[in-house]
Amino acid sequence: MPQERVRVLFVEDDQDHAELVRGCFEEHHRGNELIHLPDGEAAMDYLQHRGRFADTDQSPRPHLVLLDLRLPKIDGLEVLKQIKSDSALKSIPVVILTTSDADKDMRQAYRQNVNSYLVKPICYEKFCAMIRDLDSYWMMWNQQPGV
Amino acid sequence: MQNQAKQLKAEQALSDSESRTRAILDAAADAIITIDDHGIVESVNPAAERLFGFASDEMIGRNVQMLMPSPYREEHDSYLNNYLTTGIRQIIGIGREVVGQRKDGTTFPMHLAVSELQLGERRMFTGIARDITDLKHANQQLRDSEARTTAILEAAVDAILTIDTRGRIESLNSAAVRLFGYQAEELIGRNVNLLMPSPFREEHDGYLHNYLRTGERRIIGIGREVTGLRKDGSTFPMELAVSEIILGGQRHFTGIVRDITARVEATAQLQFFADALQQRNAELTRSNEELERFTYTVSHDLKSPLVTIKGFLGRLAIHAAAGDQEKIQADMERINRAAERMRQLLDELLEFSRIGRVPNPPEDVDLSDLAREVIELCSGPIHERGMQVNIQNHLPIIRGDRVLLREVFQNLVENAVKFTTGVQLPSVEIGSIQQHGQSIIYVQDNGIGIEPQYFKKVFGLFEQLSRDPGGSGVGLALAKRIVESHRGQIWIESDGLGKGCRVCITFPDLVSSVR
Repeated sequence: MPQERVRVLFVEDDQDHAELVRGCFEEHHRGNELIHLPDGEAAMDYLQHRGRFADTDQSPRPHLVLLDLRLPKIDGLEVLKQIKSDSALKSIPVVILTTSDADKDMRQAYRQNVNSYLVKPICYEKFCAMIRDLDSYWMMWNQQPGV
Repeated sequence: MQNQAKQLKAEQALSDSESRTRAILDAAADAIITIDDHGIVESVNPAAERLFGFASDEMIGRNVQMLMPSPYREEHDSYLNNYLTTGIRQIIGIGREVVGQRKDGTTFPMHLAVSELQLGERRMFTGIARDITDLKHANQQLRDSEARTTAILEAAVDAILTIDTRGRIESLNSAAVRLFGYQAEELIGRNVNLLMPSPFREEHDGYLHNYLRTGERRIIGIGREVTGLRKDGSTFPMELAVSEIILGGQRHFTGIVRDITARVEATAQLQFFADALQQRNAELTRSNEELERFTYTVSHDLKSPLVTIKGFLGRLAIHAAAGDQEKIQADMERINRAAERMRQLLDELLEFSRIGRVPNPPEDVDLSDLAREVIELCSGPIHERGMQVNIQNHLPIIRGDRVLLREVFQNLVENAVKFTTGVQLPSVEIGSIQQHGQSIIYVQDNGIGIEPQYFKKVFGLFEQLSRDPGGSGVGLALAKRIVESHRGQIWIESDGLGKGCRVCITFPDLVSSVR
């Protein structure tokens, strides 16, 4: 298990959904660090250390990217594509978390080498259960090489 | 003795001469007949026997009229008498075409040359006759053939002209007269370049010269579409086929010209329909794509507030159990906002889907009036913000759906208001400029501006670059849909963040661009 705190870059434009996800994570008290950004452009700036994220100590590399699909400025699929085509970033697991269960979106996401695709359940209990399992799987069980 | 010898010699010479003459007469291909001044045949040659089918002794001593059919036969004696009394020559020394009759009664055309000779006291006439049946036949055939050719040329629908190597017109048919509007005599001898508009007119001599010099064919034997010029100055598309002929060692060129105005028009019309069909297809494809996007957006964007509502209801239950009033209040606010957003989405979706389904009848819409109306509709926030409004005078007039067009400009002005939040002296301008021959109508603000990579994205349904200013992302999608339903185009221009933005629209159905 990794020794440092697990950092999740969470890209979500809907403040309410962001709040729900944050709430579910906090219920587990795992002490994960959730970095929430509201659009795709900010996410790429963070990952590539541009602008206000230029300082690598202030914006360290995340262990997981939790990505909404429909995002302002640069949408989720494009963010995914850029991560997976960047040799320095491609090993970071990317999990899509979206309301869209459209076949087209899933196909495109998997074609861009997404690591997992999750559809936000409408039911709150399921929503929480999914976040909990996501947390366990990616933060506890899943192993990845050091950078 | 000497005299005797002389006479003998003279007789011998005469006999030699006679023999020579006889030999010549015998060998002649033409019939040669001599008659006296009463018309009685004195001598005939073998060719005469062959021609008329009589033996020489059947002809000699009889009146030459036996060799003619009626009525010439009966008239011949009087011809001869007339000549002998008046001296007026009708045939002697002239030659003419007459009709001969053979022994078997058949007649034939013959050329007859008659000469008169005086032998001592006697007047004699020599006739040289030639059968011209074949010649006449050949002539007739030639005339028939010519008549046929002329008939074909004259009946031809295509204009046919011949020119010489210098480009001078030698002949033309009636179709050419009709096609170019000149009389034949106005064209014969003139340079054929008269029938071409500039710059072909000036170049034609050069073409001809080049061909004669190099033998390189550009049109001869190939045919092509060129432009013709009528006498009245009008031009028309024509198909020209040129062939080269050599007659009597002289080169000539024959041009066959067909007026293809109808064909060109038909082709243009076909092209027009093909284009229209293609356009309809494109519209259909776009409409299908739009429907797909619509369904997708609806399923995604309507689900989003549902997740929020259900989620915060779950949280509300937990917070209620804990009696945390502050959090209960916050949860309820979020639920309420999400429900409100859903209502707004549904309203706008309905509005969006209504466009084009129930079109209002098209009318002439004065955009200056429309702009003032829209500013009036948005006057609340405009005054609140202290926004400066500038509407250019004399905006174009557009034929279209007034209600929908107002919606376009209302959306654009509302956006201008929305995206000038925080700007010190906010302003919006509605105007038009002429560019590449078309009127571009624009709505320009001095707000937050937009980066080039988002110029297209902002027109997508429910696309928002930022959630901050409120709204649902339908406005520009709606505007685009309305503009496109008017066969227009809409796009966005901005020099980047903080530089304001300009939404531009063109409409093909301008009633007037300048008033």
